[in-house]
Amino acid sequence: MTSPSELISQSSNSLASLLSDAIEQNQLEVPMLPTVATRVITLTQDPDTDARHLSDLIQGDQSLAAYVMKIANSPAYTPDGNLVSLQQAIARLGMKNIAEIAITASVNSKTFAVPEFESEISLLWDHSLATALWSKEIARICRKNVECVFLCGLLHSIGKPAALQKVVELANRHQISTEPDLCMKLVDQFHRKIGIEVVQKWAMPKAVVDVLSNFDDYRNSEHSMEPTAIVVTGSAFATYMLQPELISEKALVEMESLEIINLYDDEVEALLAKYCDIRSSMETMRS
Amino acid sequence: MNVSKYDVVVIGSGPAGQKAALQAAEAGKKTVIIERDRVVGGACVHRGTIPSKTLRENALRVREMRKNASFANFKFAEESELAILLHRLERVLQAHDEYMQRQIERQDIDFIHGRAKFLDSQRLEIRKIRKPKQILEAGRIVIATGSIPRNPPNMAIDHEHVFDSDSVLSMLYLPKSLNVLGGGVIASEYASIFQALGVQVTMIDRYPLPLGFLDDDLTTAFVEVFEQMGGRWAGGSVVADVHWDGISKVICTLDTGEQFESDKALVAAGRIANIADLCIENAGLELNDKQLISVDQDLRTAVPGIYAAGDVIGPPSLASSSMEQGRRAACNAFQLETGQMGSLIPTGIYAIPELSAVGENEESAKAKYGDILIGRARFDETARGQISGATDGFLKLIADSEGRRLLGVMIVGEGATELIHIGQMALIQNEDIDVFVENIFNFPTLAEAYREAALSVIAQRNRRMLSPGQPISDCQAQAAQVPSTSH
Repeated sequence: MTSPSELISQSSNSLASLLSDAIEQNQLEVPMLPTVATRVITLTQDPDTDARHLSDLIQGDQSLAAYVMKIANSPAYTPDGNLVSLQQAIARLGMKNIAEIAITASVNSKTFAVPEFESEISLLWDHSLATALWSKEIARICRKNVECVFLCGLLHSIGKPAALQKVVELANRHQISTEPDLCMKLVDQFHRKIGIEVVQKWAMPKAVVDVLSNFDDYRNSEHSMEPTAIVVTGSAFATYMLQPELISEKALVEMESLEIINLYDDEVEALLAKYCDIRSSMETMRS
Repeated sequence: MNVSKYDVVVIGSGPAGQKAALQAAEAGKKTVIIERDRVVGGACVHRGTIPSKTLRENALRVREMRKNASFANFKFAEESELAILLHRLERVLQAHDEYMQRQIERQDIDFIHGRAKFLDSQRLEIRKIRKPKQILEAGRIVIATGSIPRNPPNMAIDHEHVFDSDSVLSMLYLPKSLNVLGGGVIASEYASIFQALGVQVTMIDRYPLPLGFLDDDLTTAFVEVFEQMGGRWAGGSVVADVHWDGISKVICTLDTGEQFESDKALVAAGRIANIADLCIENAGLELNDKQLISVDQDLRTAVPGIYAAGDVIGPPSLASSSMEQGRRAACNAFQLETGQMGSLIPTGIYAIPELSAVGENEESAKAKYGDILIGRARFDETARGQISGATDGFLKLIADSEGRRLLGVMIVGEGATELIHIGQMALIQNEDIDVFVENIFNFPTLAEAYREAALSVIAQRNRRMLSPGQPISDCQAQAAQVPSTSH
């Protein structure tokens, strides 16, 4: 008779194998969130709104932001496919085009809404946005890479919801029983690889691909050590803000990445003083 | 807390700091460098000179390929990622870093990654990242902390839309348009580089011409080439406010109310001494009214035992002069022979086109010597200029009223910063103008321009000898008509 732990192990191996195959066979999809798209449409139809609101809304959602980049660089909108930043895409495309993109997204997409994993998905989104906002503030103190690291931070864990969705989908399709912990372990195991593939498929700027590719080994990054170290630091600050039980203020000050970006303890203190501003920005963008 | 004792502490590892430390170590002194960055080299290496020159090299390639697009069907995509244009930078910086590290190790110099703060005139507290503080004590301290961009209060630099010269190369993509606020060396270099890359650049500055310390002929030539490339020079404009509109544009408003819009803006409003964390007042030092550290001719500050070198003491703020200042500061600190300091430092501006000058310019020569003779030679009059397509440059020699003594050399065009050294050596040796005619240069080279310009001066000299009372302007007009058939 098979023991429960053996069953879990078998499930894990089967799912890991299926997920690997899906990655290798290009069977990953990163859908849009129709609710966000709907909010974009509502915004663009509101005569009292302006491009600033739209810009804030889009920057607050990594999936939508990345999708805007993908569509903005499609031949229909930009024949040369040369838009490389979210900010640039928003400025260039205008509100009408953004609305079109949002409508297209909501009609054709699935969502990241994974049944029974709503809280995990929500936390992943929050963490991504917080990472983007903290990274931007860190870059500002370092006086460089400000523009680049917001998008890098926003997309640094784009592989997680994609991986989670795929794990659950594969488990359901192959009738493999799963536990939440097992799913999240598989997400942790595969998300970076999936994330890199997603940003490459979406033709994200080289800086974004580099940061994701080097996230776990930024010291050996030839081209993007500093921006990656900024996003790694931003991610830790985001964890401190959202899940303080996982990382202490002392641990933040002792992070190895601080050496790369030359953040001294008084500068870390100055950053932490922005805690309320960043939380407020985050709430504005997520509301 | 333990106190580490040294013969000399050098604060900063830029050109001045490096040379100061190496000189002291070579003299057998126990030396330590304190650097707030994790890498050696300072702003010059990591944020200024080397990165901007790397971008410039690629801008020149793009410009040349555009000129010769018919050969290779070349098309440079607008709004390309800036990283693509800096692709060799990491290797250049890594090679420099490794070279410097080797030198430091070879000379047994300690290197501390940390931030220095004066406790008194002989003790420094070093604040480190992830490590405990350390106290250093030394009888000699060299301040070589360099400079940081000046941030005018009416210009909201956010390093995202409005950049300073340290952050501009972290732009993610080449913008469609860029307003460059300033008319100095950094402004002129970046403005012309970005314009050559196809960005629509407007230079906005309060003065009528950029690079006001240079000869008018040079600055006029710079503006002409800049405008030929499609740039716009908005001189005589006082900027009242610069801000990002929150959506898509940076708005630059003049005191007249006129507005300039652009995708991005670069504020290049000069640089100030980088002493923010040093607490120099604890050592008994203070900044002068130009916000710099004052030194005497031996690079001594007002406090015995403390020396300063490089950008932190102000102009000429060139890497070349900073290196020599650093070396001399260390020599003076330990009563070592310094040798004569050459007073002739050439100015090199790595704009497109390149500009360089040494000695007197036309205005200063007139002020000092009254009557002078000027010889000019255009690069398009040289075979090398025609062959390489470097036809938009020229060389200008200034001679005394007798047309013999060389007073100054100015060059615009590719290779100007290299070519200037011929003139510099002639000036140092007090050579007559004739040296350029009596000696033979390689052919074809742009150095021929020296010969052409010297011949022009000699022609004026000869005419003057024939007509002693003739006004100088007439001589120059005639000289301009002298055919260049002197090969």
